Amino acid sequence: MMEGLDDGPDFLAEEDRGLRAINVDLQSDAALQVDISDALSERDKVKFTVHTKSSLPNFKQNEFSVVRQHEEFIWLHDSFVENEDYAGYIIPPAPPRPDFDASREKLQKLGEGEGSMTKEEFTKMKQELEAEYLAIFKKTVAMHEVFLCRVAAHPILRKDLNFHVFLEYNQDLSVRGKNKKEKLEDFFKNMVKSADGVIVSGVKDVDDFFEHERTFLLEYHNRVKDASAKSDRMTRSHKSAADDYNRIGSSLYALGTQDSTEICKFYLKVSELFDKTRKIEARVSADEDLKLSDLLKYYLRESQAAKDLLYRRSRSLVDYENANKALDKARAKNKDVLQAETSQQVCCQKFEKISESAKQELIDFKTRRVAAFRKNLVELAELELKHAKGNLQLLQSCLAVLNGDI
Amino acid sequence: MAAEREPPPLGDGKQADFEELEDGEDLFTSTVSTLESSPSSPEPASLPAEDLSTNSNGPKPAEIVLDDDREDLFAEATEEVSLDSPEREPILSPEPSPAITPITPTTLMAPRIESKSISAPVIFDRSRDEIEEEANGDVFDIEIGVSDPEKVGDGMNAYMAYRVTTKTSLSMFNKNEFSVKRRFSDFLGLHSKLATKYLHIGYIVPPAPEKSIVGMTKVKVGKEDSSSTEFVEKRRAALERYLQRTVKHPTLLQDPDLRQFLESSELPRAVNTQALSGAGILRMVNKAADAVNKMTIKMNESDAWFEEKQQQFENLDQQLRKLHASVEALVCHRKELSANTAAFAKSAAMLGNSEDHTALSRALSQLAEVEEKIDQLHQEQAFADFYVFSELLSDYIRLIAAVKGVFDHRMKCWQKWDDAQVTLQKKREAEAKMMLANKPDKIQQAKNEIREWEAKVQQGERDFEQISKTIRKEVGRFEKERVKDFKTVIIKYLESLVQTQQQLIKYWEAFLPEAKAIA
Repeated sequence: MMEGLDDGPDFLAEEDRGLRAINVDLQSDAALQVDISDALSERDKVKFTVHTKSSLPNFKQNEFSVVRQHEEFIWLHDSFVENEDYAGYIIPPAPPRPDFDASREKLQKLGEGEGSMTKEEFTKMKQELEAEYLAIFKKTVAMHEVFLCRVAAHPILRKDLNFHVFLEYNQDLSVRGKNKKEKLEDFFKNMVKSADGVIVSGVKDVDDFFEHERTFLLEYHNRVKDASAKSDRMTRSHKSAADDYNRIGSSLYALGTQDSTEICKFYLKVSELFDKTRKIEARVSADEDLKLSDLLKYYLRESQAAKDLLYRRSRSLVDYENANKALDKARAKNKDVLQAETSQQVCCQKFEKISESAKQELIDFKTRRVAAFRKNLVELAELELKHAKGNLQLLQSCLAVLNGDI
Repeated sequence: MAAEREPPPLGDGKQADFEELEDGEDLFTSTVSTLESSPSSPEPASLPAEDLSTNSNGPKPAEIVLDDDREDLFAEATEEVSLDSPEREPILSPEPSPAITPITPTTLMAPRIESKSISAPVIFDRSRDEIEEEANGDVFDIEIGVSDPEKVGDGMNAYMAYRVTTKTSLSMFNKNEFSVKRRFSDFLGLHSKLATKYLHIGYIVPPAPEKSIVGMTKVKVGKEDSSSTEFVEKRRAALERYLQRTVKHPTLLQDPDLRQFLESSELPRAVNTQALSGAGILRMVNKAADAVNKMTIKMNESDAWFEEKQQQFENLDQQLRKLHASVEALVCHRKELSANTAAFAKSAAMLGNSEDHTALSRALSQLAEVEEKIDQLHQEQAFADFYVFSELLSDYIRLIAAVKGVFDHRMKCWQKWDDAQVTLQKKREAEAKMMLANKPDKIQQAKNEIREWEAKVQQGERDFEQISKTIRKEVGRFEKERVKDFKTVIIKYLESLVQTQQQLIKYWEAFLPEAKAIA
C-alpha cells in the first residue's frame, strides 16, 4: 500500500491507495467491500460504476455493480444527516461536485488559439491540458470512492437501508437535484442552524472531554481552512512556474533550430532539459496537491462533520435540560406530569446515547487524523526528495554535456 | 580620373610600394609583389611616434579601417604608445605592420574595379580575423565594477551616484586601479558620445541602460521600500554590464571619452541626455525622420551576406523577445510561489499550534519551518532567474537593435553614394548641354562641378565599402561574443538551479524522520 512512489502512469492506483487509506480503518472486510471500478465523463456529468462485493445476506448477489451520479451520492449523504438515529456519529463528508469547468475552458481556449502557435507548442499544450483533465477526473473518482468506503467501514452506517439501496438498486434512483424552493429551504435551515449553534455553544459543558473537544475543533477547523486555502494557492503557483518552463523550452527549441552559429546545439540541449525538468516540476506540484492540499481539504470537511456532531449533542443537551425544567414545572403544577416524565426520559436517553457514541467517534477521528497526516506527510517528503534528486541528476548531466562541449 | 589618394599611413620604409595604382591588372600584380616582398613579423615597438602625427592631418574615413585593423591586431602594441593627440578622435593608434599592409590596398582598391562585389577582400578578412583572434587572446586586461549606489541631494534634484572601479594593467591608463563617482546621466552621456562617433561608420556600440522616470522618481522621493532598492540594484547591475561590454570592444576601449569617463574625477554634466532638453527633442525628431527614410530607401543589395545577416538578426530578435517574455513570466510566478509558500508556512505553524496530538503538532511545526526555508530558496532562485537569465536576454534585445541600426547606417551610406552618382550624372548632362550651347564660361563651371561630384562619388563608394567591411567584422565579433555570453550565462543559470535542488534535498531529508516519528 505504501508504494505510491512509482511515477508510472498508474496514477489512479496511487491516488486510490493514498486517499482510501487516509481515513478508512483498513479492515479489508469480506463482509462488505465497495469501490468505484469505472467512471465515464459525459458532457456535464460523470457516471460512476459502483462495484460491491459482499457476503452479507441482505444482498441478492455476492457481487454486483450499479451506475451512479454525483447527485445520488449527495442524496445518500443527506439521508444520513437527516436521520435522527445517526445523530451521534460523525457523518462522512459528502464528496465535492466534479468540477471540470476550468479545465474545459482551458481546452477551449487552446482550440481557439491554435492558429497562433507552432504545431509543437500546440501538441505540447494539448497533452498538458489533457493530463490535467485526467488528473481532475481521477481525483473526483477517488473522492467519491472514499466516501463510500468510509460508510462501508462504519459499523452502524454500513447497515443503513438507503446505503444498500444505493449499492444495489440498478436503476436510476430518481433523485432529482433540489429545486429552487428546496434550495431556499436549505438556506434557511442552515441559517437557523448556525444561529442555534451559537446559542447552543454558549452553554458550557459539564463534561471536560467534550468541552475540550469543542474548543479544539473550533480552532482546528478554522486553521485547517486557512492552511487548505494557502496550500492550494501554493500548489497552483508551482504549476504556473512549471508551465513557464514549458514555454521557455519551446522558445529555446525555436532558437536552436534557427541559429546559424555553434550555439544552436547548446540551445537544443537546454531546451530538452527544460522539457524534462518541467515534467518533474509538474509532478511535484501534482504530488503536493494530492498529499498536502487534498489532505487538508478532506480534514476541513471532516472537522466540519465533527463540529456538526458536537452541535447535535449540545442541541440534545439543551433539549434534555429544557425537558428537565418542564418536568419540574409540571411537578410543581402537578399537571401532565407523566407526559413530562416520558419526554424527559426520551431526551435523557437521546442525550446519553449521543454522548456515548460521540465520544468514541471523536477519539476515532483523532486516530484517523493522526494516521492520515503521518502517512501523507511521509509520502510528501519522500516524493519531494525523489523529484528533487531526479531534477538534480537531470541538471547535472546536462551541465556535464554542455561543459564538455565548450 | 583617379583622385589623389593619400597613401595609407605606413612605416617609413613602405611608402614606396604604394604609388597610385591605375587599372585592375596592375593593381593585382603590384599587390602580389608587395605580398611577396613583405617582411614577416610586425615590430610595433620600434615604430616611431611620429607616425601618429602624420595621421592626424585630415584623417579620411577610409583610413579609419586601416588603423583599426592594425590596432586590433596589435592591441598590445597600443599599450606602449601613448595616444596624446586630441584631434584624432575617431582614428586611433596605429602601428602599421608590414605583414598586413599589402592586404589593405586591395580592399581599398576593389571598389574602383567595376564590380561592386567585395568577395575578394573577404578571404583576407577571414585570415585577418584569425590573426586577430590570436592577438586578442587575453589582451583586454581590464575589469570594471559598478558599486555603492548612494543618494546625493534631496527632493526632485536628488540623484544616485555610483562608484565605478577600474582594475587594469593596460598602460594607457594612468594607474592600475582607480575609481570615480558617476551618475546615470554620465553613462548616458558617454554612450551618446560614443554613438555619435562610431555608429555611423559601422561599429556596434553597446546601448546604455534605459531611463525610467517612474523608478527614479520613487528613489528621489525617498521611498525606502523594497521596490526602490530593487530598482537601484537592477540599474547598478545594468550599468556594470554596459561598461563591461563597452570596454570589451577593442575600438571603443581606445576612445579618449571612455578613458575620461573611467578616470577623471570631474566630468562635465551631460545635460543633453535629458529627454526634454533641446538635444533630446532633436533626437526624437531625427529618430522619426530616420524611420520614414528607412521605408523609402530602396537599396540594391549586391551582397547576399548582408541580406542574409539582416534576416538572421530579425529572426533572432523575435525569438529572443519571445524567450524573454517567458522568462519574465517565470520570474513573476516564482515570486508568487515564494509569497504563497511563506503564507502557507505561517498557516501550517498555526495549525501545528492548535493540533492537540503532540507528535503531529511538532511535525506540523517542522513542516512550517521547511516551507519557510523553501520560500527563501524560491526568492533566491527568482533573483537568479532575473539577474542572470532575464537581464541577459533584454541586454541582447537592445544590442540587436543597435546592430540593426548599424545596418541602417550602411543603407544611408549607400543612399548618399547613390545620390552622388545621380547628381554626377545630372552634372554631366548639364555639361553636355553647355557643350552644345557653346558657352565657354559655363562649360568650365560645369567641368568643375563634375570634378567635385566625381570626388564625392568616389568618397561615397569608399565610405560604403568601409562601412560594409567594418560591419562584417563587427558582426563576426558580435556573434562570437554572443555565443560566449549565452553559453556562460546559461551554464551559470543551470548551476543556480542545481543549487536550489541540492538545498531542497537537504531540507526534505531533514524533515522525513520528523514525519516518520509521528506515533
